[in-house]
Amino acid sequence: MAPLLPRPGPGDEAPAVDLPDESGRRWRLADHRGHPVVLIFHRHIH
Amino acid sequence: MRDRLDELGPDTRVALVTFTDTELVTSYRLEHELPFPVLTDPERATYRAYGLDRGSIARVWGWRAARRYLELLRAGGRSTVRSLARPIEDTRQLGGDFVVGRDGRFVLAFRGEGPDDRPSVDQLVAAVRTAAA
Repeated sequence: MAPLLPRPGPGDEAPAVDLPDESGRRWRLADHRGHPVVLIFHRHIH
Repeated sequence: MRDRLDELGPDTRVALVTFTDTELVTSYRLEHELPFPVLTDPERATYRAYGLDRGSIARVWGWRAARRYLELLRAGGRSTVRSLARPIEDTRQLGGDFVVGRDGRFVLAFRGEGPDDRPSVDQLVAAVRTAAA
C-alpha cells in the first residue's frame, strides 16, 4: 500500500516549487514571496 | 480562469504546473494562449509534495467523467477528447488549485477528486483577494 501523501492546507507553509518552464528557465515559488500566487496543477494535457 | 486574470490584480503571480513533456507544453500553451508560465514536473515530485495523488479508475473514468468529456466535446474541446482516445500520459493523476499568500502560506488548497472536480473561478478570485489583503 502506497504511503499517504502530505496534504498541507490553509495556514500551512506551501511546499517549495522549483521547476523549469518550457524554455528551461527555473521558476521558484520562493522568488515570488510577497505576492499572492495561484498554482494550477493540471491533470494530463495529452 | 484565463479570461478573468485581470480580476486577480497586477500583483498576483500565476503558474500552471504539468507533468507533460516539455516539447508538448509549447504547443499546448500556444493553443490555449496562456499568458503565464507553464512549468514541467515530469517526475511529479511537486505534485506529491502538494498532496496530489492518482485517482481510482472508477473515479477518473466513471460516468461523471464521461459526462464532463461530453460537455467538452459539445463546447468544441475536440482536442481534449481526441487526446483521450489515445492518451500518452497518466490519466489517473489528479490535479489541484492552490492560492499562496504573501507570507508563503496557503490560503486555498483544493485537491480535485476527479476530472470534473475543480474550484470555481469565483472561489479562486475570492482566495486571491484574501491572499492579497
